[in-house]
Amino acid sequence: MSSQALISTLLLIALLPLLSALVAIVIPASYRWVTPLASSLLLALASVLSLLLSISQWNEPTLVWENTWFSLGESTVTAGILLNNTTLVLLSVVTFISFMVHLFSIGYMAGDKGEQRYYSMLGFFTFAMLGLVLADNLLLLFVFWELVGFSSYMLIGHWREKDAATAAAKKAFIINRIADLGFIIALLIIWTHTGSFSLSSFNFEEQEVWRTGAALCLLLAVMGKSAQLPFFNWLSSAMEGPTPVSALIHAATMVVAGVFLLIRVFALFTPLALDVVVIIGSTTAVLGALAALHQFDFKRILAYSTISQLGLLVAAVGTGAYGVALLHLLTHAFFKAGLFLGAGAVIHSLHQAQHSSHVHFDVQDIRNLGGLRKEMPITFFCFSICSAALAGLPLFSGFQSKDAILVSVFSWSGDLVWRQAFAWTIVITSILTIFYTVRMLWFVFFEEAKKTSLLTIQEVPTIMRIPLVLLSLGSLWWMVAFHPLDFSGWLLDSIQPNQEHNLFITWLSLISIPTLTVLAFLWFKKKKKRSTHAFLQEGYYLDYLNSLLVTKPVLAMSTVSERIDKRGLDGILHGFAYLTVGLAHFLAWIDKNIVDGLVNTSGRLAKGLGSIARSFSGGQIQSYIFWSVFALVISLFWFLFY
Amino acid sequence: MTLVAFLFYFFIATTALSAIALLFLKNIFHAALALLTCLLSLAALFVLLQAEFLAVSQILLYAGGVVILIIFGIMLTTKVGGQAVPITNTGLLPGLAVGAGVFFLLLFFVRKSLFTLPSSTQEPMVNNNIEGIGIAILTDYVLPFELAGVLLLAVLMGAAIIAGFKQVKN
Amino acid sequence: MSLQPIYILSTLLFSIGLVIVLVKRNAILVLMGIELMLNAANLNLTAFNKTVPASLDGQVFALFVMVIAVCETAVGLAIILQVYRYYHTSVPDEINELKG
Repeated sequence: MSSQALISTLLLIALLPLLSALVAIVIPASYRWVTPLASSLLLALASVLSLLLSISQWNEPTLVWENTWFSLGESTVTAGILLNNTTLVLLSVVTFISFMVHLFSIGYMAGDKGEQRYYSMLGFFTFAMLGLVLADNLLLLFVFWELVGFSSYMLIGHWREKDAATAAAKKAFIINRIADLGFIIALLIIWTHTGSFSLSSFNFEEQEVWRTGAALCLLLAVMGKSAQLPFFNWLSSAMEGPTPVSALIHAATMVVAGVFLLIRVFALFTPLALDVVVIIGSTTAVLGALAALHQFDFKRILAYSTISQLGLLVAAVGTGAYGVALLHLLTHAFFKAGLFLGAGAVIHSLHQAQHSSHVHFDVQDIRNLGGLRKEMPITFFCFSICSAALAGLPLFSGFQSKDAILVSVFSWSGDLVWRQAFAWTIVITSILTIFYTVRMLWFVFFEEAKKTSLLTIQEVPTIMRIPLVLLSLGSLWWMVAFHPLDFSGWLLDSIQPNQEHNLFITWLSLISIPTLTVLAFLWFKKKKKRSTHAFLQEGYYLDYLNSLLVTKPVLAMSTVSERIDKRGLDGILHGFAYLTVGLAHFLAWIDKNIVDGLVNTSGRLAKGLGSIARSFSGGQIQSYIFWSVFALVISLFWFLFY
Repeated sequence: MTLVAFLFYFFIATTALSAIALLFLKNIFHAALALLTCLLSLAALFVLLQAEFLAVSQILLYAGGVVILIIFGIMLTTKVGGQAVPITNTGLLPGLAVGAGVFFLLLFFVRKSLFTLPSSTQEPMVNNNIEGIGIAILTDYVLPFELAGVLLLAVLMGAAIIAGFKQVKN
Repeated sequence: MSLQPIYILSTLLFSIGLVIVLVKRNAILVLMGIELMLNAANLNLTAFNKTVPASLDGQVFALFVMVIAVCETAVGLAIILQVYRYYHTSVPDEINELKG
């Protein structure tokens, strides 16, 4: 395929979602039933195109297409496309998952008041994500990074009338924005030292301090976007948005943008920076898993699970195995999206059932749910497949990618004790993952029905079942490689070949994971009393910490500055105004009294002189005679006596 | 001193005093009377200067004509009924100054003693003054005489017409 | 006898007449002042005549002056009368329509 045609196709793929967004807005309200279909069609087209493109362009040499964007002095910044295998993987993932979510939303969001706005923002988000994936330099990537954050804000706060939703949207955006400070500083550092933002020019030999600095700053941005340790409380609140949105953005695509960035700029990272990455990633993973175990809200379990898996991804990149991270990114996208859509299916059908029976309870609280496997068999089936992939059971894609992570972590740890400690935290995370997954399954599908027995529940409509089935199909072992126990498949071989295989770990996982699963089932079946800790349930009180350390001081500062502005600056302005007015009055006084006074005086002087001169012709005869005689006398005196 | 000298000085004094009184009198009628006194004294002086016809003409014309005319004028131009308005001065001091200036100027010429009596008394032309004047005005000065007549006629008509205009109410 | 006092008198009469013309606020009094001046001139002429007894030029001149003075007084009074009728005042200062 010629490069011109290739670039045009890529641009088309990127612009199709944007077109879908525009179409969704432009269609008048009377034809709103067209919107979901049109958007889904366009996304389907984009998805098919990107799949075909990926297959045809796999393992082709890297394509860089640059256009001059703007120039400052002698240096120019370009905007263009960087196409390599990583790009192709993500291109396909983003478009496919977005298409699935569109299909699901046809059913889920039917009848919603802001339906058109929803589809347009979905399309816009997809476009922004594709732009991020295709960008060839960091500045352009940053632009799309922010656009993605914005779309996330719009989508989380889609139900505007819900205060919790708008607050959550704000929190997500603000936390992301604070973390993006790191991105900006990194941009500055990179520009200063290399003079270019272009990703294809990232070849570094020397270990310099600035590289560590830039890498850590980028890591800060990644921590915000991908919900790592101090910045992850926005993700659990983001569950206030519609479930398909959570599936698309907060499971499969946006949150992995951070990981994608790490993979893109991997050449920048020094070993020291990479160590920091591993530490943060593994800590987040274990904390997320612990919290997931203690949540009662259906979607929050999934949210913390995402946090935990993202920690795994980040840690994998930190160990140097960015290909493994990409692999797990791929598999996680499928099974996590499947899990979220499954949860959405449950919520949807329960809501539908509530409407007809007028019984109301919180459908998202798993304590109210149970026994749904009989009423929603297909959902249960797909959900179980995806959960199995999450837990890492053999014969599912999750097993292979998690195995790859464990192998790479242990090979990274080598002999250093502190590294081994972190490696073991990954192991603990995997165990915890099994437990919370089983817990979730048990509560929702297996236990005796509690409140759900009061309702007649139906399976979700076909249009919503299709994505579930497709995604669960993508969670099976063949997604990674032909051999169910081997993780070096088409992806790893092309991106980071010659991975170490550690058969010991593989066989250990093969045996222990199913065992642990069964144990977990029995545990949850037996345990009647549920204990929980508020600390874990509330997300480690990060929200409270945030409000204490950040929100309150910022609000106080803004109140102070508002007062300064109002009294001080405005006072100065008013003072100036008063001064001007006073000056004007003073000048008016001067003008009236002094200037006009001068003029008047000269006038009066002229008048006086004039009247003196005029008095000679005053019309009084006697004065005429007087003056003439006077003149005569004077002249006579003069002539006679001088 | 002789009677002539006494009368001479007496009438000079009278004239001067009445003229000065004319300057300072407030009542216009009294001023007219002061003028009369002055003119009559002048007539006496004319007699002493051996200009008898002139003296009589002075009495006839001035004292008996002009002053009467003036008194009639006063009568007609003062506000009828009520007190007589006193005469005030405007700019008395400048006027006095100018007057003094003129006085001293003329006095200067007088003091230059250009006009002294000739030491030899010449023979007067005629003994009879009236006869002399009569002859003079009809021989040497007949033109001014006739013109004076014409003038008198013009004045007669003019004064009658001017004073007789029916004035539009102002 | 010396005619010096006559000249002094006539000078005096003339200047007093001038002062009256310049100062007084009544038109008729102004006329009287004029009369006084004319009479002063007459006196002077007659006194001059005494120094040249051979001719009577001075006296004839004085006679004509008298005639002229009478004419002038008559016309002047007529005018003053008309002016009085128009302006209702006999103060010359108040008749200043030619002012300016």
